[in-house]
Amino acid sequence: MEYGRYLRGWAQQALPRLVLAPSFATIVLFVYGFIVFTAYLSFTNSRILPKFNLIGFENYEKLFGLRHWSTAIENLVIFGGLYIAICTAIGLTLAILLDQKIRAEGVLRPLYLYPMALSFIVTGTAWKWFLDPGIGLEQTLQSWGWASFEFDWIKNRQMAIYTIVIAAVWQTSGFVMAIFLAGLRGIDNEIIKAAQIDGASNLRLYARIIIPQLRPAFLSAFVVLAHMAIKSYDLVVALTGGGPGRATEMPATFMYSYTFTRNQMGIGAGSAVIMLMMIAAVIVPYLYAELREPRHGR
Amino acid sequence: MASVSIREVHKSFDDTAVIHGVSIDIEDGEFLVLVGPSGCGKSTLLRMIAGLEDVNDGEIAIGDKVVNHMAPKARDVAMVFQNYALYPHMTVRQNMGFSLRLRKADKAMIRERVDSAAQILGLTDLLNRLPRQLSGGERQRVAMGRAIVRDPQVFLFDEPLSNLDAKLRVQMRTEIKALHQRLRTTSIYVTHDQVEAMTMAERIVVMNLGQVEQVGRPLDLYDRPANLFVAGFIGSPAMNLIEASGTAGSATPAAAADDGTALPLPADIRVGEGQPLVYGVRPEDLALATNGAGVEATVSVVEPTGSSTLVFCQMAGQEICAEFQERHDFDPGETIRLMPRLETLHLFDRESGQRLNA
Repeated sequence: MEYGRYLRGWAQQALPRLVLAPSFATIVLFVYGFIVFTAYLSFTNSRILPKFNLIGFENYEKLFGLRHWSTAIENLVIFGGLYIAICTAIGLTLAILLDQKIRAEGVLRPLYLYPMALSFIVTGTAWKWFLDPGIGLEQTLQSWGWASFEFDWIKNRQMAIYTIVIAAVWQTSGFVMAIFLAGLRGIDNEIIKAAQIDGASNLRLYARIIIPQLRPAFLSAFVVLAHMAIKSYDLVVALTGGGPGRATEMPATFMYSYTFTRNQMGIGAGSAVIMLMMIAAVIVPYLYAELREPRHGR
Repeated sequence: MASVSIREVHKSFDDTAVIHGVSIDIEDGEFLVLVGPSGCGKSTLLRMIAGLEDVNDGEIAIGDKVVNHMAPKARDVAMVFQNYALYPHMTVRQNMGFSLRLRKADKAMIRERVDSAAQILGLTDLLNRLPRQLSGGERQRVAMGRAIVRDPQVFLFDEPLSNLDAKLRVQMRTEIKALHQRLRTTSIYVTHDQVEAMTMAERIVVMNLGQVEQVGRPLDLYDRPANLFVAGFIGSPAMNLIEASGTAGSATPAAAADDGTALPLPADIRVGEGQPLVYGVRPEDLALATNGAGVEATVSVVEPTGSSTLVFCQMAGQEICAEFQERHDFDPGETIRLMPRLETLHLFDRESGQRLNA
């Protein structure tokens, strides 16, 4: 009797742990375990297969000497900067327009969100066809009679990276809009009324009262977009394959090709560690701020 | 400062009419309180004056300008909201100066106006804080400061004290009244609390179901409620209302409660035999009677408040309350006799609810 109660109490306490244990163990091994493994590999002279001879920072020195890697970093800066800025601008604008108590909101909201439901591979393939001068937009407009129309960015070494921005913005803007829309809905209506009575025009109302209160939404949007930019891989592969040439190489495609196709596993692992550090640089301060600061009730 | 006049104003949301033809004239410099139970339309009316709600029919004028179609900012009114509606990302100083900054007022002038308002309200040390760093009472003051700084034609208060605790509420009540006596800006104050209305108002408008029940000075409403609704709403503890009817046969007018208990009436009143009445007597107008006078009552609960004693009892088949200045220590179940003061008796017609005696 006494023992039975003890057993039940123990089971009740242990059950959550038992249920969570398999996934916890899996995560520890396959996520954190392999992070450590990758970090270790980046200090070895691994080529096609992992080796365990430590060679210090040699891989990192080689990595930062590679023209290929600096192209990837430059592309990341261009892509990341434009992607974050344009997505935020479009997302915020759409959210503000959608927040004007319009009739068809219930239809429009999922419509804007829908691209997010697609895989980046689908988006990339669709945009690849659409932007291909031979079959897509250029060809169509020319066949309609606008013979001088040219839009061949995807084939242009200078411009190809911007086509990735276009496709990525198309995919994610709706999601950013949802973040901002939630933020807008969270603003106290009375504050808006108070500002109207205080004499704020609509423009001022947004610039001085509403947008400054969306700071948490801006932060969330930035963190989501920044980490998506850093790890973007599938869209590049589907849309341009890193080309033309290496014009749209990004850190993630670089990492894949060095690790698995060019037999430079050590350097590939090094690039992966650098990407991890970039993402950590974005997310750790965010998590720190979120976890440290208790939510204030207004 | 300006007068405000509301003429035959109607309002409905979708198909639900919430205000049915309200007319009120508010004098320049007056402190008017709109009071009524929740859902009576008082807040909607205030928002219509502020320009936050459209007027469906009728006219609202501030000064001599009809403002029906004016934007809120063109009306030159300031409003204090129930939840204060402070701008959370601005300091107290920025909150208070915001309206002037929008008007592109001179910086030195804004500073001076904010400083002087802060001084009036005792906010000088808090000017650089953010709203979330303030207590409820302080936020309330900032909300008032934001209104004062603008020096508007009219102050509008939308239940500004309901989020404060009881003690602070009493204190802020006095402060708002003192502030009005100092600034003499026309003020319209909405509350559901009749004590707030009684203590603060120069004139009270009692509203119910989208209509004005009575307008008058606080003590006039208290002494001569025009109908059953006002009689029951104004005063705490509430007036005792006993359903009765006129009786005939004697030289002096008389009435009987529905259970047959005879209720005394003043000599100058005329009631028909069987006329359905409501017999109203305030708790403090019931006195202990001796020698078999008055009406029999059975004590159920005694509540000493210190300054007075509330005695709840069964009288004429109904739960009533009597308030005594003296201290009594009745036992539950004890029978006492209570005599209503005939000079301050309130008689209402049971059907129409209107007051019968002068």
